[in-house]
Amino acid sequence: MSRTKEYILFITNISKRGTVAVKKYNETMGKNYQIIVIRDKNKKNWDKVAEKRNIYKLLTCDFNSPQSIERSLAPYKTSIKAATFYGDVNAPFAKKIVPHIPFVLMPTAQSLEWATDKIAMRQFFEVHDKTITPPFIVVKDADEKSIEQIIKKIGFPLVIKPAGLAASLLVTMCYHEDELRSSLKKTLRKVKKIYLENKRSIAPKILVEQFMEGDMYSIDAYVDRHGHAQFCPLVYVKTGKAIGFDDFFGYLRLTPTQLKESTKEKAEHVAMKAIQALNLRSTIAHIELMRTEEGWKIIELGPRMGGFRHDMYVLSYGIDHDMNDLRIHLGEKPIIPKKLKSYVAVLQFFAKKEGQLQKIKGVRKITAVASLKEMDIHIKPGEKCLFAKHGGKSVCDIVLSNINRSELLADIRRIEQMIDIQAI
Amino acid sequence: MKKNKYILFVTSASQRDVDAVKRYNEKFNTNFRILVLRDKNKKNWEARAKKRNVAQVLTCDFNKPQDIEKALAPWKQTIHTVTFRGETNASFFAKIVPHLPYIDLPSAESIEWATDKIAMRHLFEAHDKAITPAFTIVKDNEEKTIERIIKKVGFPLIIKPSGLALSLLVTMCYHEDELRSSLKTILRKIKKIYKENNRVVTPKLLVEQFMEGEMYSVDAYVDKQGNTSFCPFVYVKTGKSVGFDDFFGYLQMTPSQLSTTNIQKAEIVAKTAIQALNLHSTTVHIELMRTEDGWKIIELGPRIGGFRHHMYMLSYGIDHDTNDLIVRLNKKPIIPKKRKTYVAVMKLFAKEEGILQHIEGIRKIKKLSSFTSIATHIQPGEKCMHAKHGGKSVCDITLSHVQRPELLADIRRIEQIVKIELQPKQKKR
Repeated sequence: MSRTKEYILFITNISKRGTVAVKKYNETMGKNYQIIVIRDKNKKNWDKVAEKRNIYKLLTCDFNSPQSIERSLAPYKTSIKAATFYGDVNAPFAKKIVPHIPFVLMPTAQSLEWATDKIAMRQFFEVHDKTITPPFIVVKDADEKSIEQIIKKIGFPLVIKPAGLAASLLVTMCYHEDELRSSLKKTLRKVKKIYLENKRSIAPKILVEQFMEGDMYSIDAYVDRHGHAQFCPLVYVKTGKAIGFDDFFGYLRLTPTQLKESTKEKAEHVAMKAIQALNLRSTIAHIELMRTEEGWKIIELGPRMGGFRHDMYVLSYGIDHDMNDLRIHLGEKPIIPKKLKSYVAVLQFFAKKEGQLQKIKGVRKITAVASLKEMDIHIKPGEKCLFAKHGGKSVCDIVLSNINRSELLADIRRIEQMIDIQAI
Repeated sequence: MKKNKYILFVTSASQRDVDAVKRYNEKFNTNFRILVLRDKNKKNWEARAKKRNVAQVLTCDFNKPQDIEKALAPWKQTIHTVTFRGETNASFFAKIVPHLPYIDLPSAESIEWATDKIAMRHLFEAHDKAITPAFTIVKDNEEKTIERIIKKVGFPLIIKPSGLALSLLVTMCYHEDELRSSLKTILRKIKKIYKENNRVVTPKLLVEQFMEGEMYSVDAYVDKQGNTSFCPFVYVKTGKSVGFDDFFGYLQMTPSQLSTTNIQKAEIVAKTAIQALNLHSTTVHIELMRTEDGWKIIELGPRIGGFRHHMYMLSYGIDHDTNDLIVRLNKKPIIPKKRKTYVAVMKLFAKEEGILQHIEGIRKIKKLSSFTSIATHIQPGEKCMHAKHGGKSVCDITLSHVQRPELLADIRRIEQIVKIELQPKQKKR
């Protein structure tokens, strides 16, 4: 008699890394999970990729129609044992899948919604503990009354973040009243245009929050079904802002940090509050924090794995982040080795100005750097370079690792001096 | 000091609920206390809470997730389950669910689907077309829409507005002219109601085939893995079959005369409906129609059915209220199989709408051997309305007898004895 097949569902796609994680999990645990991917029926055909990655079944549905999702999943529901997704953009799709697989460990659809809505997130943080969030206000217009309220409640410098837009799109910093007036007007106009293009009939909302001064860190955590969290090591983040860009992308990520134990504990305590405030369970959470003079504050939380974190954690501590993601969704305890193997850094390079990429100088030289582990080039000569705040991606990402921290820092310095991105 | 443990009731807890918690505590040697979460704009409930020994009444604005979070935050670790009574509280319950993610509750979406006539039909259809009648969704009464209804659904049919409470504006149509005029009237009325409630969405109407056959209902306990335990079936005679142009449950009777094979078939269909809505950790109330084409689902509610606690208690000794807590607290519900009596509940409405003058025969029916209880809802001088217009029954009578023929005879006697008299209508000058 044939045994019923058991599946792991990946929402919208699965990378090669994802398939490797399932394979490793099967080998380690003596299982035979097969992979199912569910995609939007209007997205481009993915059959070839699925075949190449040995996907058992590719399902398609209309993510805007619960009955279409139900119809696609119905034959597999009892044999789907876990579901997961990668990246911020897939959280809204995961949210729509959750109610259809009620016997699989997942966060609630509402938790996923709150964790992907900048305004709801701030409001929940405030309800739970005012001290973990900077002062903020929500505005819908650039009227005199709104400007007055912002100045009174927030003060300068401040950050304008439109709600309901992807990543750091249209996130703008303002240092004085004139800048606030013009930025608010401009942002509202642009958001309204985007909403109109997407046929969204609601009035756009803008989150205006105090700019937090301090050092930025991030941390990934495994949240079990009861809401208990286990933390991975903290990662230090230097943003584009710190090296002269008017943009908040993560320029340099470095782990482990130099923070002392008691400081780490405080950061974890604040991160835990953020997880609780959003009622998260059965998920990985990626939390960005700012270490300010008034203590740790939450920048934001994503119900997903942080970017580059699998590579960073594997190299630094041997933490198999992808496999732990499966473990947490399957109701098992994640494995988090504590012994340091190496110091790890990831550099994301953007062109200094927007335009057509002409040349990336220094690539050959970089390959000779001792700490280099990997280099991914995303933009080719002739293609357009855009800033992150305008929806652009980095020209190249470089992963470095060294057992000696000073050596790693020296190699970072060398790469910064070698690389020259020329755009016109 | 031991931490208190709580059971949260959404919007209110009746004396029956308080008794059920007490029985649960005695049975399982626990010490659960009752919390009630109410809308902050509803009338003060403190005096009642004190009388019923409710540990704490919490208030919140149900339209603001942050406000719910604020109200529940100090209690979250100590709330072990949540329940509610009645259809109207399901939508409030759905809003609570995301704030208590570490206890077993059905998802907010499942509750929403189970309270939205259109979503429910769509999901039934997606799961198994055979369990649901032919239906279509309309937003207007244009010629093209009328044609589509006739082609896809046919006559007789029922128009059910979505997003309205209970059976409000539910209308039956036997022919094209009736369909045209009913659609027009309903759309006008529903638009008015939406406008009054500041709802900006376009009203949708569910138009479905009228199912001919016998109506039954069943309550079931769904555990956290979706496994279902059924209570006995209840036969339902609607107002329609006794001359009203209304679908209220005029007579509800258990156990039914269905054969074991038929009960099994009905349970399979009911289970499909539960699975289609992805329900778990809840009691469900399912209404079914036994048609010539097999069992079909009328609708499903994620709650205890009306009168079911008394009916099941009298007929089989099933403590439905306590079982509702048991299934939510991850224990196996207790369902005795030995019949004790036959039970019937009658809901009496005035034949016409108007001001109640007098209910005749109450004293006489109290002497009947099956008589168990009577609840009078409308007093002389108050207005009687049909269920389809949002009215409640004038009185509900519960009967119980070990002999089925005796019970049927007493039902007949009540139908002959009770007379609901309205004040004479004043002639318009």
